[in-house]
Amino acid sequence: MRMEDKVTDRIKRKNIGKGVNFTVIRDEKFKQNLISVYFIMPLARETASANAMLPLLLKHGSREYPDMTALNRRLNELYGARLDGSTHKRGDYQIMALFCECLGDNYAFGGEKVLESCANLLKSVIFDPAFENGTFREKDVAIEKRNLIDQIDSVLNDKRQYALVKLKETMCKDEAYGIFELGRREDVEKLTPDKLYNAWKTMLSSAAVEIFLVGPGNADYVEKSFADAFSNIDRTNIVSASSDGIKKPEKVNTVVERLPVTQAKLVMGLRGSVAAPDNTDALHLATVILGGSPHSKLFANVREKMSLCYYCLSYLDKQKGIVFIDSGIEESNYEKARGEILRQLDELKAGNFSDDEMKNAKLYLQNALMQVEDSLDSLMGYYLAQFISGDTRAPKEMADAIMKVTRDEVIKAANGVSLDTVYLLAGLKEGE
Amino acid sequence: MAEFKEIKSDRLNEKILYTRHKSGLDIYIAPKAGYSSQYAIFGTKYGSIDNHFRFEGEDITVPEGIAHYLEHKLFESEDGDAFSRYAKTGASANAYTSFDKTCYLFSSTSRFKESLEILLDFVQHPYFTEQTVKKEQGIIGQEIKMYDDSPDWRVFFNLLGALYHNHPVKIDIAGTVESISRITPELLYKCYGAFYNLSNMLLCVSGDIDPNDVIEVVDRVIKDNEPKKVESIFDPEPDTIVKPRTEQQLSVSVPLFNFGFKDKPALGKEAARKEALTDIVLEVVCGEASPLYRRLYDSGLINANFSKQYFSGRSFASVIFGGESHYPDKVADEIIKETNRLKKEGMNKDDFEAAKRTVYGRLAVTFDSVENIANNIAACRFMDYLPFDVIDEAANAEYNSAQERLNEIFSEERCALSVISPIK
Repeated sequence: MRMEDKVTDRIKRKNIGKGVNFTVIRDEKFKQNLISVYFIMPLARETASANAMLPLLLKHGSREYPDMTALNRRLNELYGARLDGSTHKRGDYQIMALFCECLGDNYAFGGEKVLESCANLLKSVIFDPAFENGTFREKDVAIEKRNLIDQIDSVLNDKRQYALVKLKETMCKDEAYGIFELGRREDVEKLTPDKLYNAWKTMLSSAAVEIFLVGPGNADYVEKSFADAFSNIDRTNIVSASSDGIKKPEKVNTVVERLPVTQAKLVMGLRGSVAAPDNTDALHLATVILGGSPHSKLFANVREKMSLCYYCLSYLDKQKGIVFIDSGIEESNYEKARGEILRQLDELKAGNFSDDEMKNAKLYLQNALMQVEDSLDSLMGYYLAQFISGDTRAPKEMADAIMKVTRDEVIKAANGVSLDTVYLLAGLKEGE
Repeated sequence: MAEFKEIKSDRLNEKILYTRHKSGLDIYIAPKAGYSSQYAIFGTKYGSIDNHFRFEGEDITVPEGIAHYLEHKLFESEDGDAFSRYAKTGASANAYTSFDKTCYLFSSTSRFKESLEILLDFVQHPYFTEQTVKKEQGIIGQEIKMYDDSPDWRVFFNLLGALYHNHPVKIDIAGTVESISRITPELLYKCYGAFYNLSNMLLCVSGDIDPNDVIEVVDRVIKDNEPKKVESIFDPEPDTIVKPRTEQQLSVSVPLFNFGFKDKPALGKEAARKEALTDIVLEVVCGEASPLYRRLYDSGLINANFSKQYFSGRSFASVIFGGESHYPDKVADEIIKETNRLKKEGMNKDDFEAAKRTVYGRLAVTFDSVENIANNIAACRFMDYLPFDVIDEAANAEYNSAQERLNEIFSEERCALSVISPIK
């Protein structure tokens, strides 16, 4: 992870502690502020579940507001401010987020300093949780273990999501990326308050930390609060760059799973190269030409021409260099759909795409990137991803670079892509 | 140039410009300085519930799912589809059909006028043939099957089926594989003629735009129009429910539930008032700061996926609680118990005040998104009010009105529970 400072007119990022960066995107056009604290840790089987429990546990309260009801009551008084936590995977990292979204002070009819109060609340749940006898409360731990298990189990409820999770598990079984970000049920069951206390301590002391403030609010108070809080932590063994790198598939792996479903899900994972931002831009563009828009090859052919599906799209995981293809089909059309998808990829590799297709994909991506500026969530998500991959370009800069990608670069990037795993989730056969 | 009426919210420092074009089209523009994107919706007051109507003296019943089918087909014209036209401007285009409206939209960051022209043009030019209509059956068939596997979708429609006897809100928006097989080009043209009259439609635009640009494109692209009246017909819907409980088994690991109370629909300011008060009441009853939420959460009856919503539209309304639970019947019992208590003892006044702030604050921040603004204007206008009305009702809500609303909604006679459980 490259962590150099970047200061533009709009965005100020600075180091406020060992391995702790604070980024401010001041934008007066918004009516709300969003403060997020991201703890970035290596994704590992042994620690995934304990880490994923932390956002759930921390949002239970703080010393000052020792239970959910008291804390949420305070948030309601602050005009329905939202304090929440979540866990995500980005490349080979597991990222725990705690965030608070609150109304801008100008719109508080009681004249309260909403942002300062919310910064205090967020800081206190992270650094000064609601403990009993110096550790997490037995009762909270029991509740959140059950909730995390439900979350892990309920991946099955959404078949599209489930198919993608299974594809990643299969395809990357020897890489951190193959680990589900919430861990496994059996690991959650073994967690205790003390183990979680240690996980919390480790997260505070050794995670790489990215803090964001986006919105109209004044950053000084928020920055100082978090700088003070981290100055009291002994920051050691801080997470640094680690990645399993990009692998090349040796052979295509096909997996079929059967469940009682009406529609089959056909998902594929392909590996490409994202060694440098230039490669990434070309591959990104190639993915959009292939299946990233309603005028892409997959949409025009697999859906519109052959009527095989309602959705069939491709997208790139930039951190990992994996191109995903995601579709829902009739099982009897499996061979046809798979064949056509791969044929369209071959067309791309052979350079069989028009200048219009290329230009349209560029405009489509440019539009998507320029829209990042209009939402707090997308601004934060965009920059977090950028900082993790060591690419500090603003959306506009990235869009400009993409507009300059050449046809040869797209063809080269497409030819660097090879199919690794096909996963088909299909209905039960008769008698099953 | 057109005269705009300026509708302002001083509280939010926002405004909406309104004008009625000579064609009969209502135009709403929400200027948002500093935003990079523009968002436009061209919508018609025509959704899945409008499958029985009177038009030009004729009483017409059409197959379920036809409004949604029409939305798909409108993207096609004699010389290619609208997506390929948008491709040249870079705009991201889409459309959706809901119970009571169909909206065509795009989001752009440059060449706004060109994209607006495409939007207004393709929606005014239907082109349906036997062959193009037939082609869509495979695509929509897959869309229907995708929803058949979706427990969130099924639990919701099963609830609507338990709450509503006759109202077409209980019918799946996309229809069924069988019903869409009966759709023909003639039927599509008939529905188009009835519901896509400009006097039944609106244009909403939000972003950093010059209102005169919008009018210039409208003047150029919108065709002359003779206003026509279409009237949707709904069979009378009793206050009672169909059945108190419904259950379906699907491939899920954690059971899901929807628990709903049937409410009386409203239009205009009354609908805005009901929405604001209901949101406040729901926050008091089972918001995250409520004793009920705490009890359900601590005892493991619900998890963080628990939700509450006021589900309302043109001619229907209900309150719906939803989530994952291993004991959905107990959750329903607890909600009934708590609402009975609140009816008897009244809400705590401080709880009411905190809930009011919550609802106001959460509504205020929806104005941070050009997408939300345009969609909210469309949704509200088709029910004859504006987004500011709901915010004002929330900010000015009085305890007694909220308590009355609470007493009115929660009746044990008008609730039903829908459950999706794992296949045994």
